[in-house]
Amino acid sequence: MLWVDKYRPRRLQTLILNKHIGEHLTQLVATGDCPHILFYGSPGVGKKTLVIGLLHQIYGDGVEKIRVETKPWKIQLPSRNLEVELTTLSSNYHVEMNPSDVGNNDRHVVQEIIKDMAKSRPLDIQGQRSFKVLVLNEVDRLSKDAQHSLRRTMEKYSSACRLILICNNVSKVIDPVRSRCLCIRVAAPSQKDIMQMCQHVAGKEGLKLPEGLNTRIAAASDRNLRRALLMLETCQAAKYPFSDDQPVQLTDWELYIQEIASDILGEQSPKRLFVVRGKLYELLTNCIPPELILRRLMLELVKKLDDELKHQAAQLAAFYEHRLQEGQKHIFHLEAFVAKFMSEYKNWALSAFG
Amino acid sequence: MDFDLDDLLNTEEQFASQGYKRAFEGPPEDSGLPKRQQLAQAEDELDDDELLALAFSQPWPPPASSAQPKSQSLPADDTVSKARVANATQGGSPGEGQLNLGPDIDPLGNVMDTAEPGSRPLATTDEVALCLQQLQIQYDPLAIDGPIIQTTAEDGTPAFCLIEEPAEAEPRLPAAKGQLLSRPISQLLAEAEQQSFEKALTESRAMYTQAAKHQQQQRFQQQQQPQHQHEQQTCQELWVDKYRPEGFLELLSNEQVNRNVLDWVKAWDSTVFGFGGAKPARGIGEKPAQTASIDMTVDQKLLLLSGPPGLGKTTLAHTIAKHCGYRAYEINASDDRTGRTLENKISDAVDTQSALGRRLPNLVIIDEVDGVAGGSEGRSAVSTILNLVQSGKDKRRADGDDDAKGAAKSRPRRKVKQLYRPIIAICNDLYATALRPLRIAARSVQLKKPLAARLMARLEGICVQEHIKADRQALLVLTERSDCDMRSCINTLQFLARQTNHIRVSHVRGVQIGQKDATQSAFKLWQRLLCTQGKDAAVVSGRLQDASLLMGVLQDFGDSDLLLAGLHEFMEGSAFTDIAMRRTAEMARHLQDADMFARASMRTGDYGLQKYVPASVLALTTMLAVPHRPRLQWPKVASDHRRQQAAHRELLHGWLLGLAPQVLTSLSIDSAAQEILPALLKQVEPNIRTIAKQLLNATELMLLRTIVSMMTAYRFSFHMGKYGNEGEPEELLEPAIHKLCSFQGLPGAKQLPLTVRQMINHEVQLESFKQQESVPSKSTLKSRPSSASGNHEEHQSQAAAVKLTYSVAERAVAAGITAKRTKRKTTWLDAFTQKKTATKLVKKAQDEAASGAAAQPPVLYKFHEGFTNAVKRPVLMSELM
Repeated sequence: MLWVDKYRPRRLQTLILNKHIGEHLTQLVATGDCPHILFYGSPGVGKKTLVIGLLHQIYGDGVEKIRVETKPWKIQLPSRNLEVELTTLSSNYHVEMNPSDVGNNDRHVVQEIIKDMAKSRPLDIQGQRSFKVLVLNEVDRLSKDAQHSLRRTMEKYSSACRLILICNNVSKVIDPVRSRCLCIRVAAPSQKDIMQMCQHVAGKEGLKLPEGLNTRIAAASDRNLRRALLMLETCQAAKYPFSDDQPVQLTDWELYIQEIASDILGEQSPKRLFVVRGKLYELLTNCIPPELILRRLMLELVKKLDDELKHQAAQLAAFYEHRLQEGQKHIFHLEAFVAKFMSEYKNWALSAFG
Repeated sequence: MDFDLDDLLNTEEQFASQGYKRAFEGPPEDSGLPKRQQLAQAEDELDDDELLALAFSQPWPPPASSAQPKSQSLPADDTVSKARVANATQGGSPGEGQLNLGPDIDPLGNVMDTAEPGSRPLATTDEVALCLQQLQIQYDPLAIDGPIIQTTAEDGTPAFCLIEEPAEAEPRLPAAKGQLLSRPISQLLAEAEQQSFEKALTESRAMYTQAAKHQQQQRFQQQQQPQHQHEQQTCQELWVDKYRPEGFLELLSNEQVNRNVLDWVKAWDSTVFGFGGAKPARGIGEKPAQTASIDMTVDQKLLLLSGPPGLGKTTLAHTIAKHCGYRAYEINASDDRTGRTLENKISDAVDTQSALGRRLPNLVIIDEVDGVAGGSEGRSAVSTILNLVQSGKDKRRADGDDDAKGAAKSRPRRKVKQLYRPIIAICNDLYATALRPLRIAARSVQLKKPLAARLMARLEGICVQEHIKADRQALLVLTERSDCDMRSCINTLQFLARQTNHIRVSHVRGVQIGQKDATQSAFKLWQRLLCTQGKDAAVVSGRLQDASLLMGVLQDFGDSDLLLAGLHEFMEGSAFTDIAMRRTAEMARHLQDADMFARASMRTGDYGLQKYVPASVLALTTMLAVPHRPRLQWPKVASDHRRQQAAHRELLHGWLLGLAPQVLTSLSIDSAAQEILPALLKQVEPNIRTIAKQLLNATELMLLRTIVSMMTAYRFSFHMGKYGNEGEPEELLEPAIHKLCSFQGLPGAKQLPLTVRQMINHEVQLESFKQQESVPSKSTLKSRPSSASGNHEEHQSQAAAVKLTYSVAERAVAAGITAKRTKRKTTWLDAFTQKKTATKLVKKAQDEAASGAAAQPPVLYKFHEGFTNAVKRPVLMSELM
C-alpha cells in the first residue's frame, strides 16, 4: 500500500496532526450524541481521516466493515422517471456518498435518496447509537438547489440521522446549511508539521531522510500532507538511499502545466495560443479540474514574471476563475485567460523593451 | 439593340439539342416568325434550318381554343395523345431532325399513317414559337425589360434573351383533317423566299425595338382592362395565384432543373400513351393488349423534387404535368395520408381517368412528403410509395405475362402490380431520415434558388401590371430578404401594394414580414457568419441591417452549443494579424460571455437569457470574419474531448470501485487523479533485471515485493499483450489507468520487458489469492463474538488457527493448483464450510492447546477420479470430519 494509506491513523486517539480536533471530537461524542458536522479545509489536510476516526469513536469496530455498492436509483418525478446511478460506501451504521457525482440531478438525489436514507432508523443492535450517520463528500460541489433541499432534511430527520459534510470551500455551502452544522475547520499543516510527519513515516519505514530533502518536499507540497507523503515515496522509488540534493519529482500534469507556462512566455501569438489550447484540452481530458489548472498556471507564470506584472497576472487569474465558475465550457475560460495574459504580457514587453 | 445572328442560331441549336426535341415535338400553332425569317433570308441561303423555320411559320390547324392566346391548348381526347405519341415515335431517334418536322421526314405522310382521322396537334405552345421567334442575347438580365429566359451562349456563359409576343395573331385556317401543314411544302418555300426578300430589307432594328415596346404596352393594357372591370374580385385574389406561371417557359426556376423534370416525365410517354401502334397501358397492373411492345424506359419510377419552400416546386410539377398532357392529381398534407389510404388513393388515381372534361391520364403529385413521413404512420406511407414503385421493378425482372394477368384478376395479389403512371413526390428536406428509402429508389431533383435578377424582373413585371411604382432597390432588398422565395416576395409585394402606390426601400425595410423564418444548417450559418463578403446584399441593406438580420437567424438557430463549439474551433484556422493579441483576447472574451449566458439560462431554467447568446456570437464574428470564403470542417475537437474525458472518468471510477473499501474511503476521484495515480505509477517502474526470480539480488527482491504489494492493494496489473507499434504504450496497465497520466510531449511511463511483467503479474496473482484465502477465515474468526471466555488461551488458539489457514493456502499455492483460479465464486456452501472449518480449527486448536500436543502438519488430498463440474479445491481431511 502507499504510505498515505498505510500510515493513516484510524482512531482519533492516534492522530498526530490535528490532535486538538481529535480531542474535541472525542469529548463531543462521549455523551453519546453528536450534532451535524461540517468539515472544511483544503485537500490533503486530513478531513477524511478525522471522519474515519470519528465514526470509529461513535460506533466502534463495526464501522470498518464497509461494502461498496453501485446501484441505480429510480426516482419518480412528476414529469418523468429519472434513473441515477450512485455509488455508496456503507457499513451497518453509516452511509457515505458523493451526491455531486450525478451532476445536474443532484437535487433529486438529495430530495429522494438522502431523505429516504435519513428517514429509516437503524436497527438497534445491542444498545448501539439510536442514529446513523450520512457522510456527504464534496458538498461545495452541490448545486444551490440541492443544498436548499438538504436544509429541511437536516432538521426533520435529525432524530434518526446525523450528517457529516465534507467540503473544500466553505463559502460555497449556503448559510442555512452552515448554521445547522458544527463547522470544523481543518487547517492545513504548516511546513514544520509536514516535515515532522515525513520524518515520522520515514522512521517507520526505516529510511533515513536527510533534512534538506525533507525541507524541499515540504516546500513543494503546498501544505498538503497527502502530496508530501506521495512525493516522499516517489523520491524513494526513484533513488534510495536519499541524497540531500535529490530533486523532488512533480507529477506529470504539473510538469505539463510548467511546459504550458513556458510556451506562453516564449511567444505571444494566436498561433501559440492554439498550441496551448491543445495542451489545455489534454489536461482537462485527464480529469484535472479547470480551477486547479488555472491556479497552477498562474503560479507557474508568476514565478518567471517581472514584479510589475505579478499582481496583474494574479488579478487576471482571479477574474477569469470567477468567470470559469459561471460558465460551463472550461476550455473557453482557460483559453480566454491565456489570451488576455498573452496580450498584457506582450504590451508590457513592447513598452519595456521597445 | 444588339443582335447577333450567329448567336441566335447557336442558341437555337442548343435549345434543340438539350432536350427540346422531345419536349416540344408538338408544333406551335401560331404563325408568323417575321424576324426569324428575315434573318434567315438575310443569310441568302436556304438550308435545312430555314426549312424548319418555314414549317413553323405556317399557320397550323387551330387548336381547340383559339380564344386564349396565352394559355396552352391541351389535347382534347385520347386520340390526340396517341397521335402525339406517334409523332414521338417517328422523331424519337436523335439523328432525325431536331423536331419532328425536320425536312428529312415528310411530315404529312408519316402523320397520315399513324394518326387517326380527326386528330389534331397537341401540346402546342406559344412559348415555343415565342422563343424561337425572338431571341435576343443579353448577358445582363436587368438590361432586358419584359419576360426573359435563361440560356447558354455559344461560349458557355449564361445569357438571357427576351421573349416577345407575336405581333398579332394571324387568322387561322380551319384544320385540314389528317394534315399537319395546310399547304404543301414547296408552296411554303416559295412564299417564304418572297416574304423574306421584301421584309428583310425594309425593316430596321430601330423599328423593331419600337414595335416591341409598343407591343408590350399593348399587352399590359389588354390585361388591365379585365382587372378594372373586376376590381373587387382581383383585390381578393392573391397575386401568388394570379401570377402563377402558366407555361413551361414562364417558370423561374433553373432551366436545367426544369428540363430534367421534363425529361423524366416525357420518358413515361411510351408507357402511358402507348408506343407506335401499341395501346397505352392503363394504370397499375394491367398489361396492355400488346404486351411485347411495353418497354419501361423509366428506371426510377418516382421523382423526388426537393428544395426550400417558395421556389415553386409544386408549380413546377403542375406545369409540367399540364405541359405533357397529364391531369395533375395532387395528394397533399391536407389529406389523410396513412399508408392504407395513400395506397388506395394512388391506385385510384393511377387506375382511373377523369370521366368529365378532357380524358387525360393522371400524374400523381404527392406534395410535402416529408410531412407525411413522421411517426409510424409516415413510415407506412413511405413504404407504401416504395412498394408501388419497386413492385414494377421486380415484375420486370420476372417478366411473366401470366403473372401479370393473374395479378390483374386476383385482387389480393396487389403487390405484383406494376406502375404505369408517373409519380412526383415533393419535399423540402431531401435528407430527412424518414425519406431515406425513397431517396434511394427515386430520381431526385433538387430545386435551387432562382437568380435574383430573374425574380426581380418578374416582380417588376407584376408591379407594372398592377400599376405600382417600385424602386429597383426596394425590390432588390425584398428578394434578398426573402432569400429568393418567390411566394413570400409576391405576397409581401401585395401587402405593400395595399398601403402605397410607390414602394420604396424604406417600406420594405419597415415591414417585418417577408423575412423567412427558416432555420439554416449549421454549416451555412457558419459560412455566413465568417464571411464578410456579402454579395451585394450587405451593401444594399447596410451593415446594421445585416447585423440585425443575422441576429434573427442566430436566434432561430437552436443549437447554440454547436454554434459556439464551431466558432471556437474556427478561430484557430482563421488568419489575421494580431500583434498585441488584443483582438484574440477580445474574441476569447466574447466566447466566454456567450458561454456564461448559456450556462446561466441552463442553471436557472430561465431560458429567456438564451437570447443574449447571439449578441456575443455576433460580436465575436464581426472580428473573426474574413473576406474570402473560409474552409470549414465540422467541429469535432470539443466533442472528442468531451467523450474522452467521460471515458477517462469512467475508467477512473471503475478502478476506484474495485479497490478495497478501506482504501476507497479516503479517496475521491479528484485526489486520485491528481495525486495518488501519478505517484502510484512512479512506484511501478522498478529497476529489475530480466532474469529469473531466483537469481534476483536482495534489493531487487525487495523492490519486487513492494511493487507486488502495491499492485495487489490497488488492484491493477500489467497488460500482457505486446506494446503497440512505434513504442506507443497503447496498453500498459490493466485497467488502463496510466492513460490518465500520459501527456503528449512528456515522457510516458516506462515500459518493462515482457518477462519482468510476466513475473510481476504472476506474483500479483499469487498474492491476491493468498489474500482471498486468508481474509474470509480471518474475518469469521474476528466476527465471532468473544462472549464465552475472553482469556489468553483463546487468543492464542485463534492466532494458531490463522497461521494454520495461511499455511494451507501457501501450500496450495506451492502445489501450483490454484494458479489458474484467481476468482472463485463464493456460494452459501462456501460460507458454510468455511465457518465450519474455522470453528473446527478453533476447536482443534483449543483441544491441542488443552492437550498440549504439538500441531501436526496438515495432510493434502487431491482427487483426480472421474469428471465433475463442481468446484474443485484442496480440502483438509479434518474439514470433512
